[in-house]
Amino acid sequence: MSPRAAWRLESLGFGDVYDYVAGKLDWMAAGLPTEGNNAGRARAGEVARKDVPTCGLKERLGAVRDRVRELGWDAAVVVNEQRVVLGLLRSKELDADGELLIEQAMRPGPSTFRPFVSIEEIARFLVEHELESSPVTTSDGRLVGLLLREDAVDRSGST
Amino acid sequence: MSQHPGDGLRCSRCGTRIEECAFCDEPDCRAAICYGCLNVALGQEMQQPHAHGG
Repeated sequence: MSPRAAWRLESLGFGDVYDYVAGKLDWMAAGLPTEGNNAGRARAGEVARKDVPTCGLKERLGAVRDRVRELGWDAAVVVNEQRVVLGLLRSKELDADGELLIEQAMRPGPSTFRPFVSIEEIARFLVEHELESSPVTTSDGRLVGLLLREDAVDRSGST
Repeated sequence: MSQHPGDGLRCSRCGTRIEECAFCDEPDCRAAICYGCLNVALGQEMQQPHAHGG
């Protein structure tokens, strides 16, 4: 919370009050719990699939493609050792030459979204942009999961 | 990001010239949106009313 809110809570008698310097959006982006009127609404972070396959930059596309499709997926997220998102393989990238290294085949630096984003809003964008999926990450770029358009639309009730 | 001048792609909300859509990363998106407008639309950041803060 803001320093002013923290001081106000102290003035109201709360004793265990902290100023989270990075701000409320950063707190929510880390998937930490919130309270209030909107706390119960579905968010991108909870709808995103946490079991999305991942791979590294130096793997061969053919091997990754086999592994990913065996798991029933048509997408994979390229991450480093800290699970920071470096790239994305959607169906189009997965269909490229199997001898390519992942770093040659991937879509580099894909747009990512924070876990607190309203599922209704992001579903609308996914439909409007005809995008099959989007990665959800924390503020420091670590993978939370892959949000599939069908899941977002199902949860939001939009078409 | 997507805020550099491009070959005619413009943000559908504010009209800023962009290289590619900040949502789908496509350079020929029909519903292109710039990084700033997207973040405000998704609530990832607050719209800044004043350059000097407050």
